[in-house]
Amino acid sequence: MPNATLDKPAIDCRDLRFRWYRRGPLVLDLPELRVERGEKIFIAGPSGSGKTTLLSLLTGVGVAETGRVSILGQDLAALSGSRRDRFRADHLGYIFQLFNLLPYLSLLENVLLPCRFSRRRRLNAGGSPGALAAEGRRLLAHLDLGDLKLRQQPVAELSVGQQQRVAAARALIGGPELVIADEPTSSLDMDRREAFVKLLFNECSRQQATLVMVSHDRSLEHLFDRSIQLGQINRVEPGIVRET
Amino acid sequence: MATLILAWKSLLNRRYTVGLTVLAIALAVALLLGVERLRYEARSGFTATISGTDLIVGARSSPVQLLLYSVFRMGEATNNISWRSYRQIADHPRVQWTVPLSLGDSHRGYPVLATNQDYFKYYRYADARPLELSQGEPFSGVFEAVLGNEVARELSYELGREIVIAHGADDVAFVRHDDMPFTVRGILAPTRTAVDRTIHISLEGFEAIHLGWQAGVPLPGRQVSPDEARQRDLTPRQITAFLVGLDSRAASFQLQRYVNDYPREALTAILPGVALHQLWDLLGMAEQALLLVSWFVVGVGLLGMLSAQLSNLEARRREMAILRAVGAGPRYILLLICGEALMLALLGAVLGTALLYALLFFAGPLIEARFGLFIGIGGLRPTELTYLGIVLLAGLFSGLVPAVRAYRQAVVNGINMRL
Repeated sequence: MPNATLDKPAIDCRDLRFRWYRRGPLVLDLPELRVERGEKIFIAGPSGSGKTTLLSLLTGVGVAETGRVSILGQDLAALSGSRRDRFRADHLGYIFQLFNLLPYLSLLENVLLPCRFSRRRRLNAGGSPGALAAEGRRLLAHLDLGDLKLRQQPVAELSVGQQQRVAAARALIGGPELVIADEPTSSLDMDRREAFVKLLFNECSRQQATLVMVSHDRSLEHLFDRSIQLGQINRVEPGIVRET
Repeated sequence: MATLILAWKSLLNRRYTVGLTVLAIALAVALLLGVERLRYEARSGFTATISGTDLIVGARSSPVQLLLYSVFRMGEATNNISWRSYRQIADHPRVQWTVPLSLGDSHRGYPVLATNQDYFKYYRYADARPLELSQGEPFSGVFEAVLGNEVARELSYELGREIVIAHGADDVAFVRHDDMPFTVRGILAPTRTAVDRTIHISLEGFEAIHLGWQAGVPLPGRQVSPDEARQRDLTPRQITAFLVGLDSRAASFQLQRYVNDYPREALTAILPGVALHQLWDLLGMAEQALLLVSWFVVGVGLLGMLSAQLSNLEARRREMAILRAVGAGPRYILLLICGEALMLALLGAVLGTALLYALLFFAGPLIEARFGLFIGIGGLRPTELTYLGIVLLAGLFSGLVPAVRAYRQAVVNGINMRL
């Protein structure tokens, strides 16, 4: 079992280099990126800054050409592909920009989805089906989705804002140490963005989870503990990077 | 198990396209099994036509031709056998019984077979089952007839009815033996063989109606009344063929040689089993072609599934990305897609089998009435199970194509969704 040591930083990257294909251009050249436990970090990434690449490296889906990605003290390169998948399931919550939910699962089933793939998170969330459901409902209530009628609706009929909050509940279920959100607010109305981020903050603080949010929307930047300009720390010339 | 539930829910979510795919596979499977069953039943019905007869003897011709006219009443004999030769062979020490057969006339399209009482005694079909009368009794008088079951049913003939026999296979008015009608004395129980379509009369009756005929036409002024006919010697001068039963099976070859080398007349003796086999091989071409076509249809059905799955992959990118994000590995994605293909093939196979049985249940009696082919609603036979297995396996393999694609996508794109 890949272990995540408590005293190690949440994210510790050194000398990361990455290209999508051999002899292609470098899309990421990152001397250092460090996020402490419990921090709430804003990464400002305009398109072309290597945002997608960085996320795939942080989640262990992609592997850096050189350099080191250490998440919660675990060197991801040291893990096999399937172990990285396990690690991601156990320790990471992920929120997409849009379309976070599987339309064929109920709202609660969507929230509990990570517990199907991670024993650790299933146990953290209560273990038994009844306890899991209770924990899911608790999280949903915290994210202003306590309404029983809402929970019985097909998820495709939820508003975008509601869908994003369900996604947040899913990212947080079973207490993962690191939550990564990829432009989670960009499809929300301006006045809803701050409310969403605050709800996310509250729940992350409660679970002592580290939050990394990537966005090009600087209006929310001031709410975070710290902000990183990916365009500045990535030494690759902007414009070379092609997001795929 | 959880994976299976997830896969199932995903399928249900796409139930219309998935339903069409399953329907295509089901129809293909029903066709395949239907053709296979038809083949099997046709073959077993075919070989059940005659049993217990060791040899069939006729004028020299090809074995298949002899079999066709003597057993299936199809086609015509090239020549006849003289009564003398028949008697001489029938008196051979190894011969236990013989049944003489004379063919050539018909009644409203149904062949007329002239024979004697021994036909009812010795003729066997299927698993050595004897002929049974459902009504009446075998003919005894000169102008009496026994109808096959289908003849009686189709023409609504009952006992006591008088029928007129036509000369030759075509019922043409001026060559009817209408001066000598036959009375129906008995109706046979169904046998599901050519017997059902046959009208049986005595050899004497056959001889009587041809008195005063030459070369297939009545000679003017030579007409005989039924009563006059009865006064004449009605021993046939010729017959078309005869069935032979021997005291032991082992004597078949010895007697076959004896007949084939018979000095007075050019004769052919065949072993019914062997000739049936030869004939079936001849017909087998069509049957093989039919089976081949149904396999192609199955292939098209599976190809449809393959293309549906491939084009679905694009739409399911989001689903895959979400699954990847919550910790599903590429291998899980592979299994998901493969499992889905297997599930669709399984659904198609089950539905197709159900469809076949529904069809057999509703259309079976119709097919039997129209074509005389009985198709049993039994359980699946080993061949059919093997076919179903092959379909499932092919479904699994065709699922590998989109699965490997999705696997690659999962590895390369990971959780990046192209929106």
